[in-house]
Amino acid sequence: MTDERDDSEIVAELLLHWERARQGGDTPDVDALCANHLEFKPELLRRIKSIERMEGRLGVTVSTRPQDASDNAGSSPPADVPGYEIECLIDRGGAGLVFKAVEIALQRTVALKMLAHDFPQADHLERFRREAEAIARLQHPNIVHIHAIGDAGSRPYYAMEFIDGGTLADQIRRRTGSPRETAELVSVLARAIENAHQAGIVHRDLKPSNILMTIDGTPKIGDFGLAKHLDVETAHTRTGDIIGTPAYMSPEQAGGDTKSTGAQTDIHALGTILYEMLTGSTPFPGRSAIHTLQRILTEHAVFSKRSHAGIPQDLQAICLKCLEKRPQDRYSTAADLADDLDRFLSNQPVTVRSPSRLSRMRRWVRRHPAWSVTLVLAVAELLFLLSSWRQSHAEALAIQQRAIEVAPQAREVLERNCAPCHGLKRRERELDVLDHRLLLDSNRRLVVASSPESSRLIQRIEDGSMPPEEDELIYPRVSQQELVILQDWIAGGAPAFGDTSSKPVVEYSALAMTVKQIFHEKCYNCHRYDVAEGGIKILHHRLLTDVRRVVVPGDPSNSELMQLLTQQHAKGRMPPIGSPQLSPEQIEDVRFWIELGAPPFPMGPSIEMSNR
Amino acid sequence: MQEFLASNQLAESLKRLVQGDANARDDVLEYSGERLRQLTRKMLNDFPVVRRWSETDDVLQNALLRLLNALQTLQPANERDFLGLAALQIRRELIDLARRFKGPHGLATNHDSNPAEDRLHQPLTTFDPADLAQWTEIHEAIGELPDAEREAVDLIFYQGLSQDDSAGILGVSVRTLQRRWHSALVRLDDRRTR
Repeated sequence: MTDERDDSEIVAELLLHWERARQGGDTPDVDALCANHLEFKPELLRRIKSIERMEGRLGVTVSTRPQDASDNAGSSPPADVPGYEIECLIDRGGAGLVFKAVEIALQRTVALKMLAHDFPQADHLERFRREAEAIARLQHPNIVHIHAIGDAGSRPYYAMEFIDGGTLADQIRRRTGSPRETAELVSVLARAIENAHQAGIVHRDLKPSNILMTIDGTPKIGDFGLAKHLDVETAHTRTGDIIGTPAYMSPEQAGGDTKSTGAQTDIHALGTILYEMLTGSTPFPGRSAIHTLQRILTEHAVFSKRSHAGIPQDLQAICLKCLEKRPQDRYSTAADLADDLDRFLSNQPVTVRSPSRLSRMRRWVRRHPAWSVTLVLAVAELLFLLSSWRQSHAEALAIQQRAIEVAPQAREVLERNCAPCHGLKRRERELDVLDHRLLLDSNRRLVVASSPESSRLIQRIEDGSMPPEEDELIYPRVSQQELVILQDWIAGGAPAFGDTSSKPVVEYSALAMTVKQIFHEKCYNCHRYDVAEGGIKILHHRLLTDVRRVVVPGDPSNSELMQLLTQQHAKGRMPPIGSPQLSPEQIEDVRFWIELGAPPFPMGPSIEMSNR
Repeated sequence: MQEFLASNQLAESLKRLVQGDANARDDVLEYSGERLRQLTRKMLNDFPVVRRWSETDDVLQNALLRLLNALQTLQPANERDFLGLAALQIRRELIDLARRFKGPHGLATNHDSNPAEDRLHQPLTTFDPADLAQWTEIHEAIGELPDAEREAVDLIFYQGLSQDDSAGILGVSVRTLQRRWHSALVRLDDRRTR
């Protein structure tokens, strides 16, 4: 064994010589390297071949020097852009640069946009061309106009009108507009974006900083870098922008569902702009990018009754319609939005609700306050009684229906967790859990139809005595998901099992197995079933997630377990200082497992930690 | 990459992150975003079929969202931990992605070229399920390397660092780093040809 290791060390050393030679630009001479160790030549050649093969597969060019100087190269304009005289850089972002320049022939100032690199990547090039084509297809007074498209050396560029009144973002920073001014401006933007939609183009990155303002206050939509053709399947996103400015994302973008982005995505963005112009703040400001994304996905936009009292109700309703979570609940087209804004501006009823009817009701209530209260109470009580009756009847039906639906799954749960000892092959206590008749035997009270709490099956699972705790390394505790299936099945009368379930209740999760290994290796000594007593039994999944709730599935940051694992101070840290600690990767595995919903531990022994 | 690593701002942000400043998370991502994007693109370059269905930056966005989520809970103590975490997220995203596409019911089945790229005069590429499977296996195999070797691969392959920089981050000599790199590659190749 020692000899083998020594041999391997020698080959490793020879490889270092080979490495030095190849990095020095020489062709390594294997024969010379092995002059004193000829017997190692075959092994050395084998390893060299392996290394070269893998480096080729990974696309890695090994060097002691930094590899990607070219990545940062060329953020300056090319020396010469034919026909233009470049004055200065006015903006940069992502892969593009925008210069202020003079078009020599016409002596007019233009904005020259080009890629930052001399040898652009294919996808940058494609996106850049897509943007130029998108804008060039659009002819609208409120969309930035392109004068020319060309190539300067290896870099494509396009020249567009130069607009020097700042952006809408600057304007919002200075002051919020009056409701009427705001409605007028957003209506103009909506008409412009409708023009783009008609041409089959969705902008997908509408935000105040992408809306340029002329000196006379005319808005012009620019930066179509994320634009998507409605009739083309591929969807480019630019991460820097999305991650950097999530405040203007729609729920479908925030959820990463790029396939669902369409015209309604732009309508959502217009709603966000409208909201910001009216209130001075976007609808979902967050402490961080991820917090904002979470709010966009889960919260509904509202106007505060107190601080936004001056904003007309109709305009609020229009804005909230744009900000609906589901695209289909927003305006169908940007033109519909513009029309409603115009109706608001001309004091006509808007489509999002009927103010005249509301006003009539309000007036009636003011004239008959006592009657109003009595009427409302009577109607409410009637509705309550009616709904209670319907609810209880519907609930009973639903419980039965649910039991029939989960019966095959209940069988699968029993088969997996109980049948190894109480099944056809091994009938401990004369019990085969898959024999429906035996299971419902009234003497045994294993399953008492319609009464999960009286069923011994459920009691034994809940008190942890089944499957036997001493087997916990192989048979995991019944997870909460599985327990609920059994409870639902019994609550609905424990109907016959029906067909075998095609899909397991608990899917095998490799990550859960990894986490089980980690717990086994690092926590089990102090948290095994017979040591932990009233404390945490680390392999008892249901105890972690539902009984003691130290793991909140889907929410690592609120999981006490994560707080203990990442505790900076010695006090309260788990595992305690002095015990083998979890590596950062193992902690991340645990965190990710929780984020994915903490899938239950699979059955079977945890595999030995391979050579780690 | 030098610029990325030498960036005082990144080092400063990481320091703030370690001290518990939640805002530092966004800064750290901003500084590293460009590098991560290059990596993802590099890795996807060989697989036009994947790019057809999920653009490079979509992959990266998911990886960054995962990283953001991870940073909500974990506080990398130093650059080494941060870069390791970043590599882990990219690896996971790519593995998930490949799983989604390969196999008889994968999204990519029966789609054998990227029409958009054909138009852009790219070489006509054909979908080879075996390639995609191997690609997944490589990332999975990297995840299962012994810690020291995996860290070397994380830094050189996933983070695109030079051997000097990698050795500096790990606090080992360049020779040690090279040993680990060689050993990792031989192990990966052995596993592949096994």
